[in-house]
Formats: sequence, C-alpha cells, structure tokens
Amino acid sequence: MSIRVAIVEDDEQVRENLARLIGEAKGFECWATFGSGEQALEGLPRRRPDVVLMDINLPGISGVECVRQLKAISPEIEVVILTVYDDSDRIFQALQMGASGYLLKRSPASEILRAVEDVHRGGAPMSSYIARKVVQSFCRQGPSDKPAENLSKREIDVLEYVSRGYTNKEIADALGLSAETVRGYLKTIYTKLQVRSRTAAAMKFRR
Amino acid sequence: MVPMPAFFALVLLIFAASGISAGAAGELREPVHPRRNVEQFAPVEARFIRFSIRATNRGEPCIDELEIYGEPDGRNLALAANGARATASGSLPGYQIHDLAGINDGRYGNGRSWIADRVEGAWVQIELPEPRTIQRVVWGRDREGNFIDRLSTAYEIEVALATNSWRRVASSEDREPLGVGARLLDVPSLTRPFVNRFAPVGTTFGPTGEGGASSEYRIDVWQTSDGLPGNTVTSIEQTPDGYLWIGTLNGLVRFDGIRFKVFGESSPLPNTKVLCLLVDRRGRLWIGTDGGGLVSLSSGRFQAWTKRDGLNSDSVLSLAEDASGRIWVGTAGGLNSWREGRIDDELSTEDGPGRPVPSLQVDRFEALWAIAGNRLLSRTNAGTLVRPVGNDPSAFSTVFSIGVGHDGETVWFGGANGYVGALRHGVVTVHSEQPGQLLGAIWALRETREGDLWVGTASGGLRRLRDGRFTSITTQEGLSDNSVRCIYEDQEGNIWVGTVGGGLHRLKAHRLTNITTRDGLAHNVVTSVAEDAEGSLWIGSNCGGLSTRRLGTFSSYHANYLLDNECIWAVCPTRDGSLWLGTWGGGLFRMRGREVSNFSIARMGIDDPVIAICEDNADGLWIGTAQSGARRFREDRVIDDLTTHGLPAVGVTSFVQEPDGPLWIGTSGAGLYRFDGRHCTAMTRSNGLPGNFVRTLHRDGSGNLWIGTSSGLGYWQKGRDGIAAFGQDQGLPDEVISQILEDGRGNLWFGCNQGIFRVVREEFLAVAAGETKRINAIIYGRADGMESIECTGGFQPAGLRSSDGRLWFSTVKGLVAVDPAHISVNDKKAIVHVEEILVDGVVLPFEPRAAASRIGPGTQRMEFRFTALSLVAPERNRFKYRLEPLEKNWVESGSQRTAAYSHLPPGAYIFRVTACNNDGVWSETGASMSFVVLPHPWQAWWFRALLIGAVLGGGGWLVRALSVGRLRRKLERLKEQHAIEKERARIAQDIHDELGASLTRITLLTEVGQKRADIPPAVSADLHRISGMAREAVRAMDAIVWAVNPRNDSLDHFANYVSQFAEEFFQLTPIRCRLDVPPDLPDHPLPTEARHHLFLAVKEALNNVVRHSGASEVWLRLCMDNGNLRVTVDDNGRGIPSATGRQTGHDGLGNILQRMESLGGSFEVASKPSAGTCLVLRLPLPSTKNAPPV
Repeated sequence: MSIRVAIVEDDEQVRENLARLIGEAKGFECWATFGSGEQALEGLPRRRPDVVLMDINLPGISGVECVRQLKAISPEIEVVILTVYDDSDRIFQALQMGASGYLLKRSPASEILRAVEDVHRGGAPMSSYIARKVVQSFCRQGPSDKPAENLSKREIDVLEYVSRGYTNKEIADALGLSAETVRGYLKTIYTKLQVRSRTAAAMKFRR
Repeated sequence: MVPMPAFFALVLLIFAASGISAGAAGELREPVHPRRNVEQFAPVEARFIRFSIRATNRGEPCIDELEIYGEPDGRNLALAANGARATASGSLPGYQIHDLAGINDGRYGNGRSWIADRVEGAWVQIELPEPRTIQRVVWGRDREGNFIDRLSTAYEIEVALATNSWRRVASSEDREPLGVGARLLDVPSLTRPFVNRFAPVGTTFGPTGEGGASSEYRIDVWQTSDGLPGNTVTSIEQTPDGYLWIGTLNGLVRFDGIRFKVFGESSPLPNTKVLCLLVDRRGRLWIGTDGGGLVSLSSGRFQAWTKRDGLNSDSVLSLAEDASGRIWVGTAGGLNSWREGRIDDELSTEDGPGRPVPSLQVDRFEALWAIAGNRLLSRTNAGTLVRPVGNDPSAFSTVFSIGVGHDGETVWFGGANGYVGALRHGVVTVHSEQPGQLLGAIWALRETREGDLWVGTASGGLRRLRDGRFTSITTQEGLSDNSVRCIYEDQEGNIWVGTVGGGLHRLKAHRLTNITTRDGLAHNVVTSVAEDAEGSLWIGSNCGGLSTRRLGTFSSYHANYLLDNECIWAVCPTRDGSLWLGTWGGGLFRMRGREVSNFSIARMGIDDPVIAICEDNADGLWIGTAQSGARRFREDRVIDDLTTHGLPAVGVTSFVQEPDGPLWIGTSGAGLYRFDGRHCTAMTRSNGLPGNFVRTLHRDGSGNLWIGTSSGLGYWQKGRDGIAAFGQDQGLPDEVISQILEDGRGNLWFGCNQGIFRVVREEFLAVAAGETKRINAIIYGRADGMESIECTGGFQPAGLRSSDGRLWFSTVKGLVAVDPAHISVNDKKAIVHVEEILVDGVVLPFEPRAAASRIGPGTQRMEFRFTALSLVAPERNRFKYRLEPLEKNWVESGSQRTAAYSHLPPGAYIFRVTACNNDGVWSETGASMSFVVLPHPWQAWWFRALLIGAVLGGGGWLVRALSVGRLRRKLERLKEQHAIEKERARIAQDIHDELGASLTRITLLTEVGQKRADIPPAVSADLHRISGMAREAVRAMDAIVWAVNPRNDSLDHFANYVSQFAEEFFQLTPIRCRLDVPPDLPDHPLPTEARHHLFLAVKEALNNVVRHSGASEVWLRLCMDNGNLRVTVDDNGRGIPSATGRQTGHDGLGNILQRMESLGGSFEVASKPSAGTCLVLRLPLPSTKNAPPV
C-alpha cells in the first residue's frame, strides 16, 4: 500500500509542486494538502495520513504549535518538518513536540521521498547537530526520577556516534548491531525527548 | 410538535433505566461502551469491591480507571491517593504502562490503564481503607476513546465487608449484547434508517461537577529540568524587593518567576543544604543550613555563624524573629538566639537540654512557640520551654508542624495522626477530614490572608481548609509529588508549595473555568454551544459526541446503536422545543421528544456537512453548509436554496437574522452577504471588511454588526455604508476571531487563537471615529485556566452568553466559561530591578543604589538584564525602557528582559526600565541605573583644552568647533545604532521569507519538470542544472543571512552552524566528516564580525581538505582552551610538504592567517607528508565571571 502523505504549506506553488512530486512518485500518495496550521488541525485527524510534511513557518499558528496540537489529538501521525533554512531552535522545538525528523526545502526530491519513507517505516532521521542538541537537553534537565525516562547506556552510545557524524550503518558496525536496531534506538531517543520536554512544558509556553 | 419538557422526561427516564432495576422490568441497558460505563446500585456497605471479567471482545481485558462512589461526598473512593489498595489476578507482563497502578491512579487514557494477564478468571479488586457505603461504580476501556479492543463484554461486580462474603451488585447480564452499534459505522449514509433515538451513555458525573478542586487552581511545576538545583524544596520566602527565595537540599535559589539564580557549590554560600529560611523585619534573608550553621544575606553579602560562634549545632532546623529583632534559632542541638551578631544559648526544654527544635513561631503577643520532642511548647518568661497550661495539644498527638494564623493569635498545629488543630487563647479546636479519608502526617501549615488554611501532608498531598471543609489537592490534580514539605503565600496571593522530590509548585485560582472530559464533557474539541429555553447548554464536538449541562452538571451522549454520528458541528435549540444538530457526514438531526429524525442536506448525492444553524422569523431554519451555500428549511424539507439568489456555493459559517427581515450571511471565502428576501448583496474586502473568511457574526443591542474573520474584526454601524476594520495594528492580540460576545457591562469578549480577550466597547468606537489609534485588550490564556489557548470557530452557534450571565467559549481543549461579574484584576504593581549589566560580555559589578558606575573608554557593547517581580504570570509581564539622554521615547520590549546598546559615546547616562504585571498595570517608579562612559584621553575636556591652548587664536577655535561637532554627529549616529541592530534582524528574516520562498519554488518546479515524460533529454538536463543552481543559491543565501542576523551572535550558534555546514559540505564528497563538538559550550557572546571571519576561516580550511588533502576522513573539533576558542581541522591525507608553524605560502592558508590575526587570534599548521594535516585556529574570548548580584 502506498504511503499517504499530507502537506501543510502556506505557499501555494510550493504546496502544489510538492503535491505533484509526491503524487507522481511510486509508492506515495498525496492524501491531503492544507494552507495553514488551523486547517491542518481541523482536517488531519479526520484524513489520517501516514506522514505529514509540515512547513515550520506558517502564518497563524506556527508549525511547532501545529505539531504539538496534532500529536496531542492524533499521536500516530508522523510529522516531518519542512524548513527553508536551518532554524535550529525551531526545528528542535518541533522535534520536542513530536516531529520525527526535518528536511530542508532545498533537498532534492529523492531525498524528500527517502525521508518520508524512512519515517513511515518507523525511522527517525537525526543529524549530528540534532544529536548534540538532544544530549544538551538531557544534560540540562538532569536525570529523571523515572528511570524509564532516562537514556540508556546504549542510547547514549548511539547518540555519541551520531553527534560525531557517523551514519546509521557505521554506527551499527561500530557497536555490533543491525542498522535496524540503530534506527530503533533513535526512535526511542526521540520518544524520550518528547516525554521529557512534555513534563517540563507546563511552564514553557510563554510568549 | 412536542414541547421541550417531554424531551427531558425521556432523558430522565433513560437515566433511571440505567440502574439495575431496569433489568427486572425487562428493558435491557445499553451495551458496554469502550469509553465509560456506569453501574448504579442500591447503597451497600463495603470494604472490598471486586470486578471479575468473564469475556472480552478481543484480547486480555483492559480497564482504564475503576471508580467507586458513595454518598454524600462525591469523591472517587477507589483512588490510591485516598488510601485504597488494588489487587488483581495478575497483570500483563512486560508493560509498565499497564501495571496495576493504572487501575486507580486517577489518570485517564490507555497509557495509564490496567491490563490483566488472562481472559479466563481475570479480576481486579479495590480494598478501601475502611468500610464505606457505596452505590456507583464507573469504569471504561479507554476514557480517551482511542481504543475499543480488550473491552470487558461479560463481567460482574461484587462487594464484601470481608473477603469471604461476596455479594453481587452489578453485572453485564442486563445489558444488550455488544455488536449492534459497531455495525452501524459501515452502514452507508443513504440507507440509514430515518428515525433514531438518542441514548445517554454517561450519566451525571458526581455532585462536585465543574466546581471541583481540580479546575479551581492552576498548578505550575518547576523541577531540576527547569533550573532548580534540587527537587526537594525545604522552604520558601519572599524578600521585600519581590524576589522569591527557595531553599533546596542542593542550594539556595532566587526566583523571579522566570529565571532561577542558583547559589550552589561555587557560590559564597558556605553550605548548600538549606533547611529553613526567614526574612526579618529589615528585609534580611536568614538561611538555616545542614552543617554550615546560620547564614545571613544582606546587600549581596553572606555572613555565617557556626558552633565556633556559640551555636549548639551547625544544623539549623528552624528560624523565627521577635519584635525586638532577635532571631530565634532552632538547631539539631537545642535553641539559640541571635542578637546584633551575638549568639546566645537559650534555656533548654523541660525534658532536658540539647533536643532538636524543628519548628519555631512567634505570635502577636511575642510568645515563642516551638516544637521539641514532637511536642508543642511555649517559652516562659523564665526562659524555659514548657507545655501550654490547660489544653495541651500534645495530648492529642505527636506534633510535627506549627503555624501562626493570619490574626497572629491562633497557633495551628498538626502531627502524626492526621488532624489539624488550632490553639487560640488557650482553647484547642480540632478539624479533621471526613472519616476514612486520611490526611496523613502533617508537615506544613500556612494560613493565607484570605483565611484559608493550607495543610501539607507527608504522603497525601495538600488540603485546603475553608469554612470547615477540606478540599484535597494531590498528584491527581497536578502536584508532581504528594509529600509536601513547605507552603508559602506571596504578596500577590499565589500559593507556593515545596515537595520532597517533586520540586516547586505554584497554585493560583483560575479566573476562567475550563470544562473538559474530566468534568463529564463528551469530547474536548468543542465546536458549537447553545442554550435552550430551560437554561440547559448543548455542546457539540468534533467527532466525539454531544454533551449537555443541566443544573450545573455535565453529561454526555456518545454514538451507539441508537445514534450514528458523533461529528456534531452545530447545535441549535429552537422555540418549539426541538434541538437541531448539524453533523459532518450525517446531515441534519432533529431531537424532539422521544424521537430523533434525520434529514439529508445533500449536494450532488453526498451529504454536505452542516456547519451553521439559525432559526428564522417564520418557524424555519437557515442551514449553512461547508461547501454549497445556505438553505432554508421548513416542515421537514428544504424550501429554498440561497445560491439561486446570488449567494456563491461556498461554506456558510454564520447567520444573523434581523428581527425586521434581512438576513446576514457570513461565508468562508466570499465575504459577508445581506439577503433581503430576493437578492443576496455582497460586502467584501473592497467594502472595508478585514477579510473574506468570516468565522462569526454578532449583532449588538443597537443593531450594529460585529464581524469576526480570519484576518481581523469588522464593525458595521447600522444605517451606514462601509465597514471599520480592526487588526493587530489597532491592538487586537490576534486576528483569527472565533467568538464575539457581550457581557452586559460595556465589554466585548472575543475568542481567538491566542486565548480570550476583552475590550471596552467604547474603545472600538473611538478608534472607528478616529479619536484614538489603538484599543486596549486584556487577554486571558493558559495562566488563567485555559488548557489550550486556541478557540474553535467557523460554526454556529459559536459560544454564547448564557442566561446566568456567564460567557461560554469553545476551544480545542474543552469549553471555557467566564463569569464577567466575578473576574478579578491583579492591581499589585510589579517591582522592577536591573539585575545585571554586561560590558562587552563581562558582568559589571554594581550596587543598585550606589553612585554611578564608571565604564571604561572604548566599550563596544552594553547589555542590561532586568526583571519585574510579579509572580502571578511572569511570562505576561511586559517591559519598556529608555537610555537617557540618547532616547526620548520609551522602547517597548514586550516580554523580553534585556536591552543592548553598542558604541556609546562618552557621557553620563541613565538607563530606565519599567514593567507592567499580567493584567497590564504599570509600575510608575520602575528601576533606573546611572553610569558614566569615560572618554579616551583625547576625548577628555582637559585634552581638548590643552589643544586649544596649544593652538591659540582662530586655529584653536576651529579645532574645538570641529571636535565638538564630530562628537555631536557621533551621538546622532549612535542613537540609530540600536535601531540598526533590530533592522538587521528584520532584513535577515525578510530575505529568508521572500527570497527563500522564491528559490524553493524554483527548485521544486524544476524537479517536477524533470519528471515529465514529454520533454527532450537536453531540456531535462538543463532543468536538472537549474534546480542544482537554485539549491546552491539557497545555500549561499543561508550563509549570508546567518552572518548578518545578530541573533546568532553566540558561541553556541556558531558551533551549531559550523558543524551543520561541515556535514553538508562533505556529504557530496568521498571524505567522511567527523565532528567533535562538546554538547555544552559556555554561553558566550561572539560578535558578528568575529563570528563571520572565524566561519570564513574554517570554511577555507575545509575547502583545503577537499581540494588538496586526498584524505578519506576529516575531523572538525571545537573546544574551549584556557579562555580561547580552539577550532581544529584534522585530516588523514597526504599532508603539506615542508609545512611547519606559521605557514603562509600555501593556498588559502594565508587568508586564514590574515583573518585570525585581524581578530587577535592565532593560526598554526602541523603536517607530515602522508600523515595528514592539522590546522589549529585560536580565538581569545573575553572572560565572563559572575559577580554576586542582589
């Protein structure tokens, strides 16, 4: 079955071209498009796509807020953040809110499709820079009282390698694991990141 | 026509029918529902309640919260927090989220539910702390409605006083079997039977209703993850300057509501284990430590007294002050006192010397109360501590905690056996909770100015004693831990609570009431709300069913075999007693009496969602659809279609029916229409409407129309042409307006995507008349009790003013009610402080009240950090500042707490800052700080005088005129410097938004073009090149914008950017790039110029690797080294022949050297042939030592 992709993007031309790219690619289906976060929040829970490509710089409610609200209503929908430039702070916020990865809009079509597929298969693409931010975030928060919310030794090892620029394949070789297992670790790391930021979130929504 | 009361008769009938007695009458109860089931039975006394499962629809049974209720108090007796204990036949192994604690932890959802380890013989049992009369059990599979498997379809509930005498009180035998309702989802809408019946699944939610404690307070939590040094908070005090001081076992903390300033290991505080705090009459802070004795903090200086100074012990457990300024010090080894720097040994207790004194209080009569040996003692004139004469509280129990009441005459005490006592004029009164609800040991007591007594318990959370009644606040209501160590009320009435292991909490009473599924609402995404003639509210939801509020209690209706649509987007009671429901995918429903009728509002064979319903002037309805305009509906059929009268076929979100005929129609996309019975006339943006997407309409008492759109508010004055538009420029907090309501007090209230806001109606009229420029909106949001600040809109009816005067707003997280008659305003002004001044990144030591600081010549950049101490909602405090004489007008900085200036010319300055609290009340005084920027010698007056003296005559005059003129020009220029920095950030943003978007369009378009089959290969190749070039252009633009944007002026941003750049740079090469960047670089400013040159130098170095090294691997390392930032680029390539030390001849290396030297840094190359090259770039950074503030 093809992967059902939804697009949230305010620029009409970008939205339409992305929709065409995805619609014409084999194994993908452009399931829905939305011009704003508000519309997306109204439509996504009903349309239930597999993966959402979400522009971070939306008019009205931001992509970050949109991810947060969407994940609260429909946690099973995977979100990949789209951004024109490396706006590191906002990308990281979106990841904390539950996004599974991010893409630069300038990425070639093949890369966009690969990322969507990867996320759909349960992957969690992570760049070295994001890995560094994750480590930073966990360090600053200190250990949680709930052991399940802390990173395991293995997860820390994996993060360390990612932050040094190793690919999943190289990490798998270095740690004697399968690449699939490494992907699994990355996914759990994201989940833990979200759980931890949610507990701290109560006071953080300040404008 | 069936009148309304008949309908309620039905509801009541079905409520009654849900009891077990109905089974005997032959009528079966509705089938089990995955979300929530209620078992009502005759009151019975029980200590054990067992739920046994016989069968499920699929898999091992799951139960999401088993709740047990009795009378008269409506609390859930099954809660673990209330002392109930759960046991079970066994739990599904390997799933922490489904362990037994999930059965009675008070938390809803699959993620906190219990799953049995078997189907056959599975049971779960609740043991109450003592026998209670119970009459209702509520249970579900997943209270959040996401899961429908693992549902217990056959079960029985038994109760017992002892485990050998069970008695059955409820079972599945009198329920209809499951399965009828489940099939309905597959029934195509066209063949659906026309007459349905509604049946309630939930019943009333218990007598506490919406007034329960959970929604009464908003609780915020701060823990180590937020900057607190430790999660065990032992004491909280507020100094007169407005700061909150928090004692933890890992240090002392100063808190302004946003930022923690920690005095930990590296601070001058001699010992970081803080056990108690006291603020004395002079505003001094006293700190009792565990092992470091007694410490005072005044004017930023710590001073300590220990055993060497005469303290009985270095562990100080408690502190109190009397009117003479004497500080009483309770230590682990007896009582001491401190007076003017001298420590005295006080006489010991009647039990002998040296007992620990864990608690001390001084009352209004200057009597000292103490706890020693778990007894309450008072100090006699002779100086001994004795038990009070007459009523001795210690006779009731061991006493752990005391607190002097607000009147100064009552001594509250509490201890091990969980009662609270008051000793007043020698008389003891005892309060206890309802029997069986154990308070637990009492650790903290605090009476507020309002007269509430807050009780902190060792394991049962908080209790509030008000009017003789206890209200419980535990982890269920939002505390992070149930062991409360200390309680404090600040100057604004916030309650601060410290826990053992759970951090710091702030409790504040909600100003708004947010009703959610916890209160009995069917679903949290509310679409439409309306009130019927009986005063009941009807609430539609986005695919979660229908709810109603009658007599203050909410109940809900979900889809089962009687009702097949839960997406209720419009609810409208009409004069004839019917209730109309507009749905998504199910057409229009009418509930009248016992029957529910269903009508299709079709467009080309499919049901168009009904999003707006409005009663017309002639027993009919106006129906707004999501895509096909509006219809008129009367006598069970559509009698007119407004698209035949000129209305476009678009969504219709709202109607206003004028009493004298005309109808206003709000559309989504085509503006506003007026229908006079024959034609629809449009009013759009060209008529002044702020936007063509109308979300809501409101007709005020004078017949004027208020129009809420997605891009602002419109106002049409009756009888006039044109529409006045209001947007953010006129002061609206948000332009997406979903509700417009009037409160009958001259205010308009709006629901928007940023919360709810209120504006005095006259202010709009003044702006519309051109008398003023802006309206003043008071905004309410999360801090006031909203669980989400996003109001839902585009449905009608959308929110309302109910007959009791309350205003109701629909949101994505439930229904929000405002009582305009009782909403309070915080009139306490914030205290403003300048906390820190950074000169070129280094903290300037200064005393707030001292003489003007002197700043050395040649200063590049000054940064002011300030705060405002209003702790209700510090994130809403707003600031404005100005630097005199540079700026004449205030600069609004919003919630930002810093201001920066670059290249200030020599002279005397005053920096002023002021702030407003969460309700917009401004401090008149604010804070100010004077300083002098010293001139370079050649800028000084004496130098100029000498110059004048040296060049006497006309020439001298000329020199002076020139130099003064230059200074003046410089001043002018620098006034703009501040603005320029802001402008730079804005330009950076614009380049990204505009250019970035265009280039992205190009890349995508060429990608799409290449995929087309009908183009020649040569064109495809060109397109490929174009997309590559566009991509390269975005990358280049990215680099430029990064360099320009002052937001990136920090070491951390630099490290992020350079490592991302390197990764992307090497991605397309065969060289693998490895990074070594510490996750925690110091928070260091890195000025634009240094950042830019350093980046270009590193880029050059990386370029060299690609072009010349032939390496397979390169390492980019960043680290701090003796105050230098060191960047190393290290490859394993062929090396540079004869390269040693400061090599300049090689490609690009000269450039790197030049750049580094211009920054005052250095550059080295180390290389051996075929053993790689190592480039080291060093940049000295100014040190940032922290001086103690206060």
